[in-house]
Amino acid sequence: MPRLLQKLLLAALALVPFGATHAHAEPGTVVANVELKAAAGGRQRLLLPRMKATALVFVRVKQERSLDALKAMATCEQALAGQAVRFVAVVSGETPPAEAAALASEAGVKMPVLLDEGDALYERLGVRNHPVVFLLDARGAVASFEQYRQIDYCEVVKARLRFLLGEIDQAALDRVLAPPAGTMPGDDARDVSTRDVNLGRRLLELKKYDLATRSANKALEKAPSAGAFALLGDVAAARGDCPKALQLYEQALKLDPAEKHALAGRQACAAAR
Amino acid sequence: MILRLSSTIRLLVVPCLLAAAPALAAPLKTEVRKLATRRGAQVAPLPPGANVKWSHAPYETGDCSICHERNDRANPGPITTSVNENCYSCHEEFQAIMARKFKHVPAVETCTNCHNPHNSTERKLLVGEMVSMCTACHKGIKAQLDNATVRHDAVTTGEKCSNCHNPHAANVEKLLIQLPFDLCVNCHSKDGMVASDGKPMTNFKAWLADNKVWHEPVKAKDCSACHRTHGGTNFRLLVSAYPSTFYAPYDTKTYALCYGCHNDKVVSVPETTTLTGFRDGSRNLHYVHVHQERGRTCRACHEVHASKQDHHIRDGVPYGPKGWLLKINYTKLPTGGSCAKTCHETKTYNNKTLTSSAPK
Repeated sequence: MPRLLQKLLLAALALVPFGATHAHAEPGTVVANVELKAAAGGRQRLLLPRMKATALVFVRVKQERSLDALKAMATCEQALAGQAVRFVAVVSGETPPAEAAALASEAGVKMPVLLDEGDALYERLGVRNHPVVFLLDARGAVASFEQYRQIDYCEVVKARLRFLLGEIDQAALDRVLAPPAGTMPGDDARDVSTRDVNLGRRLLELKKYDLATRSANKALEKAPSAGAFALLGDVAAARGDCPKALQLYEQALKLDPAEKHALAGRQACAAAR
Repeated sequence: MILRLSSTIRLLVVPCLLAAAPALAAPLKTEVRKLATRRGAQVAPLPPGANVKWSHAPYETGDCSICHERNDRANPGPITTSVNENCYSCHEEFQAIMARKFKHVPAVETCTNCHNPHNSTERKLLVGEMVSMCTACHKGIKAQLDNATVRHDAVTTGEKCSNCHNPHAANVEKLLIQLPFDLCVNCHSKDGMVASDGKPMTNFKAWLADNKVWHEPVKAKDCSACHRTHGGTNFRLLVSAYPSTFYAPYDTKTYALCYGCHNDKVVSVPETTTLTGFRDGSRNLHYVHVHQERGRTCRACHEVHASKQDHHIRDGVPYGPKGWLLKINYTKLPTGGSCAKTCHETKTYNNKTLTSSAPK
């Protein structure tokens, strides 16, 4: 019996997992609030009470992307200063503290840099690459993580933190994660048409009726436009042709019942009758 | 776990041990010199005889008082409002454009920093050729373009800088019109594209649709995490070294690209229980694979953009001039994984216990 127990014990020891597989920690994984050695000296708790969100920024010394990420986080830190958010930079426990402190100083971050002694936190969160930012909620549980990105790193981390703070909703977060295209001026034919209408209005003010008409017609070539019909109506009215103007105002109001020039012009022509 | 190359692969690999020339990493961020290059210096109409190709509609009307105090070509006087206010009175869409998060300082300052409001030899009434204009301030980009041995056509063809950047304002950093990936895929989504070295380029739309395990930078839509999009000195515009040939001896320096994020210890230490899941007991199988002169490198087993299998493990390795694919036959197991006969006999590894799976 003792021999059997011994065998079972050995088998159990052999089966003890000692290291997670490659995947990052799943959302909901709770991080223990351990006290770690600070690169600047002394020891600090990883998490602070009353913080609604924590960003753990895992970085490596002598690595350009870590420096770049920390610089981005410095901007984030500044943007969220005074809020219930804690930023902590975490380096491997093997990192010389002076090098870790120098990295933080070069990046201009105010956050503490903590050394993960024995790399237990690395292991808990499955951190294998640098840089990576883990976002924790008020309970210290993983809400999400963001691997390095050269574009919009701070924007994305900031939005995730603001989401945890309850400042923005999911739709607003999604708009940061997938921002709408920043179209070029003139991509939309309606915008180009509006330019012609606006120029036509200026020409109308200057009593350049033919040029104003030409501008309105150019606008109509680009896109159907209530503004262009209203402009043509105003040109007709200015030339004393209210019946024609009224027809054009009606065309404008069919496209946009709230077109202000058409409404005003129709009223003026009606009053003039 | 003893690894033996199959005779097929041995024949293939040995003549191909051509190392890519180690290339230096280019800096991630480039310098921008805020030069007062123009600041309204060239707003007058071009002189007679200039090769005018584009003319502004208000200028074409011949009535200076549309914008100026007087309708007198010889002495029109100042414009009646600020420059941008004047422009926006017709170009209404700029109210929305300039409300975007990221704004270009010269555009905020005055439209005439870049545009001639009368006429121009350039499209969009630009005061000069676009790349020259942009790089007059963006010195770092100019240096990249000047020193590039691998060039990106996107910078110099079509809309040039505006292929990717909105020089007024944008919703993405660096004034990008969209996230990098969305921009890149606008072009890199067709078959038949060929790189400057004559090699076919990937149709990323098709590739990513077919391979669902995406590398993190791809997931983040951040192609620029690995590619120097303006031009560079590395194969495929990569930000740092990566072998241009499939079979090349392993050297940490030639994989600087990977080690920009990944820890190079993942291959340099023979024993580990933490650095990688690709271990048999504590025996680091990355180390085992690369520390042989057979060209088994990161690239030999991993796909960089996307794969069908976990850990970005590629389906197979290319073989022969017709690009046959010899399957790697990786299988994920509850206690690790196995690779079936191709490069070597079927091998299984166990990363859950101290006990090795070898010999298998």
